[in-house]
Amino acid sequence: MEVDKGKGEAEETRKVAEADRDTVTLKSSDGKLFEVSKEAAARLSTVLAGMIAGGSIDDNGTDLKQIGSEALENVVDYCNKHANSIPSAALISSSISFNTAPFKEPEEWERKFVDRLSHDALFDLVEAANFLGMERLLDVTCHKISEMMKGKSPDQIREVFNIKNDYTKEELEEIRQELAWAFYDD
Amino acid sequence: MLCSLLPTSLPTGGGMDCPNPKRRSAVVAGLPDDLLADILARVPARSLCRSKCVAKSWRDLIEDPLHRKRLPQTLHGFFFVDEKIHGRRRPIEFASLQRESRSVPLEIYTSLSFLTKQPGIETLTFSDCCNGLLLFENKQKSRPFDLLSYVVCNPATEQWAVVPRHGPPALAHVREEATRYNYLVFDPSVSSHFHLVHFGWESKESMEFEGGFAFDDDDDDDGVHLVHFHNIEDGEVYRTTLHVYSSVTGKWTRMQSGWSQIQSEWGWGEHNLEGWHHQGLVPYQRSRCAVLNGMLHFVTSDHRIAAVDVQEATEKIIPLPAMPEKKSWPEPGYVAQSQGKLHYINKKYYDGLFIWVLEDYGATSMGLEAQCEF
Repeated sequence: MEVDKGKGEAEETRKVAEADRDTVTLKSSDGKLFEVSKEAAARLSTVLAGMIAGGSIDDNGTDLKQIGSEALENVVDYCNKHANSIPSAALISSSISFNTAPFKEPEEWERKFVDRLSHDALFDLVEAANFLGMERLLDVTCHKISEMMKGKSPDQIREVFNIKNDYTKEELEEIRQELAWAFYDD
Repeated sequence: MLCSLLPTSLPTGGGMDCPNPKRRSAVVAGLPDDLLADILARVPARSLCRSKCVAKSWRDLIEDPLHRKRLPQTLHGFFFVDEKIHGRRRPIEFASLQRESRSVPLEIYTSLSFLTKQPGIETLTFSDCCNGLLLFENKQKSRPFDLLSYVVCNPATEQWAVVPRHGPPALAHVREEATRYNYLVFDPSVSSHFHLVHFGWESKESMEFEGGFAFDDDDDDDGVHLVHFHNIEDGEVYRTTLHVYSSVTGKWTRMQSGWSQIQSEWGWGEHNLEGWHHQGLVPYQRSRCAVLNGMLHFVTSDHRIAAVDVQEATEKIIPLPAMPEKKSWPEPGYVAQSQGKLHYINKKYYDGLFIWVLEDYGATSMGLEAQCEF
């Protein structure tokens, strides 16, 4: 719970309390180390929970080669904030209804958490959340991105997602007509 | 970039094993399909529709049946009309079955206020629905039996289309309503186009008539059609016809058929479609149809399931499963489509239901899936 370290400067202290540590150390693709509460990691990430349970956590830093340091920092930040701000009883007691937990709107702090992210950081985070099996963080980030799409034209959506239009003019016209099946009233 | 270029129709497309740890020049172009679908699942139907124009990979993903289930235009619920409310303008209601609202909840405009204000729309009578689209008959206010046109609409997106009636208006003295029956065929996982299937029921002058069936169709100019004659009373001959409207062509087509080849075991005569058509025209049987594999399925009065392909006029007959209680069915049940399979549902003699499923569409018999007691 008291973990608020962020960057990996705790190289020496780590080895001391190996046996009863309540944190895990994660290593980003670019070699930076982050500590996160073991409880929060296990609760929020199915992948980390599996690694912790399976003993494949490396105390010198579990390699997460798919995640860059900026995204991993956000992941850790999210876990810590989550651990501090959510009354855990609420989550635990609802776990009876297996797999049917309703999606809740992002909480105020979660909204702020993703709102402050840059465009690239948001997309990096959604991938990290996906990779780590962090359902709640995935919900929050996907929700944010979907909000960025609402009411936008295909051109604007391409801009948001940095996608190249690979339709020819004719193809685009055709698909537009197809989608307009309900609009040919006159 | 790499991932989105993978064909999304691969059965196990996407996933988080996407081999692109280091990138970020083409931000989302590299999102795994599953993740993009997760995002698209949260946008409103309109935005999703527009998103098909973004790129081919997006269109493929949105149209992929694997992802479609999660995307917003798939309504989790059903439309219904309360039969207890009398009158021609029963309100359409929508019962949502959405247990978890991970996606943006859809607003269903069942009041149809977006439609009823349109010029040319007079009295709308509910006729059928299929995969989220509703079919109405648009009738004259002053003469409620006069059909002006059909209206197809999506109450979630407020999209709508007018389909012209086919043929000339009925004669003034004919209660035309009793002589037509329509099905809407729409499968968004196949196409965003729809078809209307229309069974007509026409009275003819007495004519020479044998075996309850004839191919002749003397008032047509375009060849041989699906025409069945039905001897209702001495000297009076009725016939049913099949027309299909396609929103691709915008035209009604009279369908030919090979139904005459189908042999009956039920003693209604060699050609047993009279019963089938008759059944289709009985009002209380309305909406008992299911669209699957581009085929329209419904229960016939001789206890079989008829399937007709609206595009190619091919047909198929699936025998109804035998009742486990070794009794005949109390009355025809329902066909329904669920998870890509054809189901047949019927009541037990006392309380409860039998539900059958056709596991393999090529098979000719259905297996019992469940029995429910109430």
